[in-house]
Amino acid sequence: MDELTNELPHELAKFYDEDNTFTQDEAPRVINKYCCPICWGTLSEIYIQGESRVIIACTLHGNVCDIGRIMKSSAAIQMERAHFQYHVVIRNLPDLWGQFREHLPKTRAENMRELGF
Amino acid sequence: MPISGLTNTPKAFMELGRIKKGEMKEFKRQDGSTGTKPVDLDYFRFTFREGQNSSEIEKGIRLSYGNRPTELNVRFAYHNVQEVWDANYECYKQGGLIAKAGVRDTGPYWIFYRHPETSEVLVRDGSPVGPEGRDFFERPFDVTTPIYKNAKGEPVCMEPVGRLQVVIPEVAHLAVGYFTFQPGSPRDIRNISAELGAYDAIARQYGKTIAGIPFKLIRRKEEVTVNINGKLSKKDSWVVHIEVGGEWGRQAIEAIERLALPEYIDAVAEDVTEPVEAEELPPMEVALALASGNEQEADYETARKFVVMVRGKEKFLDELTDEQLVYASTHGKPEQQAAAKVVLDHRSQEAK
Repeated sequence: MDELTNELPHELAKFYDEDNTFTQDEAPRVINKYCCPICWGTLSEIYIQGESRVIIACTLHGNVCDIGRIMKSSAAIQMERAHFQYHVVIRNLPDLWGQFREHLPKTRAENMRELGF
Repeated sequence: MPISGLTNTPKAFMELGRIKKGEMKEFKRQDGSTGTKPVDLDYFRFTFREGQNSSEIEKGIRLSYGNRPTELNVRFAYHNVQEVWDANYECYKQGGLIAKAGVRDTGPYWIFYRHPETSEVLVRDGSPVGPEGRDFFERPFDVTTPIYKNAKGEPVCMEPVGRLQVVIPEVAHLAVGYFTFQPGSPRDIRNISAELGAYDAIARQYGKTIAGIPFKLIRRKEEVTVNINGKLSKKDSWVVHIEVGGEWGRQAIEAIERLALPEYIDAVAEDVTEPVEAEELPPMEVALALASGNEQEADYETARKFVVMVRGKEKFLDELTDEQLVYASTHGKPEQQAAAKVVLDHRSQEAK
């Protein structure tokens, strides 16, 4: 989806029913607690001309009612888990990710051998 | 200021994208407006998460599989099935999760529940939150019960959602990450659970785990029964399966076939003569007494093991009292009488 502006023309409002929009009370709470599930970016309110309800969307990926939304705390947990699991998975799949394993520093003898002495 | 390869290499096992089996297609309503509806595809569709290398990963996938793959090489990054595969009933409202439940043999149970109107969390991580949560948690429920009603007044229920975390080896050199395949069809969820469970069991028999096995995620055309407005009918569907690939797969299938079939041996058939009945050997104590030349002791060892019935219970002769032995030596079968006499003689000699 192209980058969205902060206001939607009234003609497009008919495509957005109540299930795809939020009240103006709900919107700040949702924006405060949730982020985009694709890029984990911040969400924005988009006002519809002549309508009291608003759309909440990621400016890059679109309406959260279509793409979903994820709590910022869940995103943080996922990120932490991803870092923690990194060493576990490279150990579990050495044929794919063996090159990422951190090696111990080489001994003096190994360095000398590599240098050709 | 980034240093390529040092500061900008995320050391994290991140989601690189999703594997989908359907897509949203536009359609025209009767009033002329357009809407979108989900349509099942006959191939896998990839979506990519934005981030480092995402364009290269996309290019790598397109090069390896083209635009309409029906078969994907996959690997699992963990040893246990529970770590790579999970399926629950879920319900979303305005893009946010509001209900999640699992089902055990004893019935369904809540994992997460957010009140659809007040947005208050009543259940989190399978435990009730606050007194209202406890009241709600104890109420019996069914997974088919509507969670809320949408703006048109239609009930919205929980639906099954599976999540399979797979590593695509063709792009593994570009990033340490995984793709999520998210089936919503009960048939696909059942297939993946059963097939993954079977391969896990085979691997564990041979001291391996699913992490070392090359798998294939495939879509196969099958005739399935569907319920359309209460009428059962048949239609073609591209069902998802997991198969083992490569050398491991070939050997696993051979092992399964070997176990399933009777064993064949190349040999010439011959008639077998009846085996000669082996001579019954005496018990160890008797054999030892005979070997030492004490025939009387050998007789006693045989006699004391003679079994008689005493008040409905089996007993050896040497377990009987003297009175019972005297009775046994004068009553019953001749061999019993003879054995009882041997035991009585032995006792009287020991008493001297």
